Amino acid sequence: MQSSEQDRQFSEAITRFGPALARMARGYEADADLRRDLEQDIQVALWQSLAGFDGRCSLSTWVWRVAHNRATSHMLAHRRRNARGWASIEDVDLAAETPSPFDAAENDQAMALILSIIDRLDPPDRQILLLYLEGVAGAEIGEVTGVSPDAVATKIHRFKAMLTRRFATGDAL
Amino acid sequence: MTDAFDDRRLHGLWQHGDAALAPLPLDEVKRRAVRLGGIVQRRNRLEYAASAIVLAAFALYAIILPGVLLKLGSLLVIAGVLVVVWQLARRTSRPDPGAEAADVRGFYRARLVREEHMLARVGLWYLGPLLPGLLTFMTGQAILLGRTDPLGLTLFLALPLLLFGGIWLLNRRAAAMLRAQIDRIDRAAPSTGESE
Repeated sequence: MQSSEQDRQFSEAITRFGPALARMARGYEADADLRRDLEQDIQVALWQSLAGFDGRCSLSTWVWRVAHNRATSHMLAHRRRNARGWASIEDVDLAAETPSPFDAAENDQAMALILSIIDRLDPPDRQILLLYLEGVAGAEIGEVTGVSPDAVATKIHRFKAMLTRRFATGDAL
Repeated sequence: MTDAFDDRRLHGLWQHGDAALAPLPLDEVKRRAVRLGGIVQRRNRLEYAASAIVLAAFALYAIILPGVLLKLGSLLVIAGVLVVVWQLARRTSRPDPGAEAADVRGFYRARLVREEHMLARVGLWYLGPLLPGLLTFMTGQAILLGRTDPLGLTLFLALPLLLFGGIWLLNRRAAAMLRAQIDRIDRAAPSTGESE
């Protein structure tokens, strides 16, 4: 790809996906300074990778792959800070935590819960849920992550069931 | 209640707010892209600095210490450190922009596999090259201090062996944990086939 085309694709990607990439970075890094570093790393990785973009997948799929892969490298590089370790979504258990009544589940609290779940997930499940939350269709999530659409659907179902059960428990209190 | 977390609400929750990417100027992006290899080089620089100190110390030992075994041990340690530095440079890859465009399951799995290989083979590429020199050096020390009796010699040789054994076990354990993660990825999410 010619350099000017690479630059144009990069500008288009940042314009189209900038806010979504910022939200994705929030799902990988809680520390604001480190998150800014991650966002900048992703931009550099994206520009570099676009030299090899041949249109065999959509720009969207390409951007998500590069961004999540760079974020995964960031996770691995900083894993010592994560004392609790990561798990697959099937192994995340919210039962020990105080349930919240649904009435109190204002957006901020719901977001905090979502982030707390995401924070515990290992990269494969984290990627699936972050793409789902961004509104990416199941088929494209499968294409980005390399996981079958059925497995994607199962993970998302589990995630929604966890949220619903958590607040439903609160209702019963 | 069952619809409390339907797709629309979850997407709305997630996308609500003013998240914005602070865009880097294109020139800065390009400048950093050129510098990228330097990040790995910086990370390895600490290892190289530590190796340089060890090399300098054992070079000095080879010159000033008495006895053939101490001199030979020092030279073997130097050779071992050089092998380790070479292996470290060979095994530490630069970020690959092409690989980062692969599907994320395949990319993550490949990262884990590479780390697992490094840890599982630490005896070959890290401990093995250093061991002959250290054992020879410690034997020379025992002779120098007059501890050539079986107990004294055993104590001198046991020190590096225990240390290296501990490092080997820790790395094997870490490799086993990574292998478990790799197996879990393979079991939990059947591939679409692209990453295999």
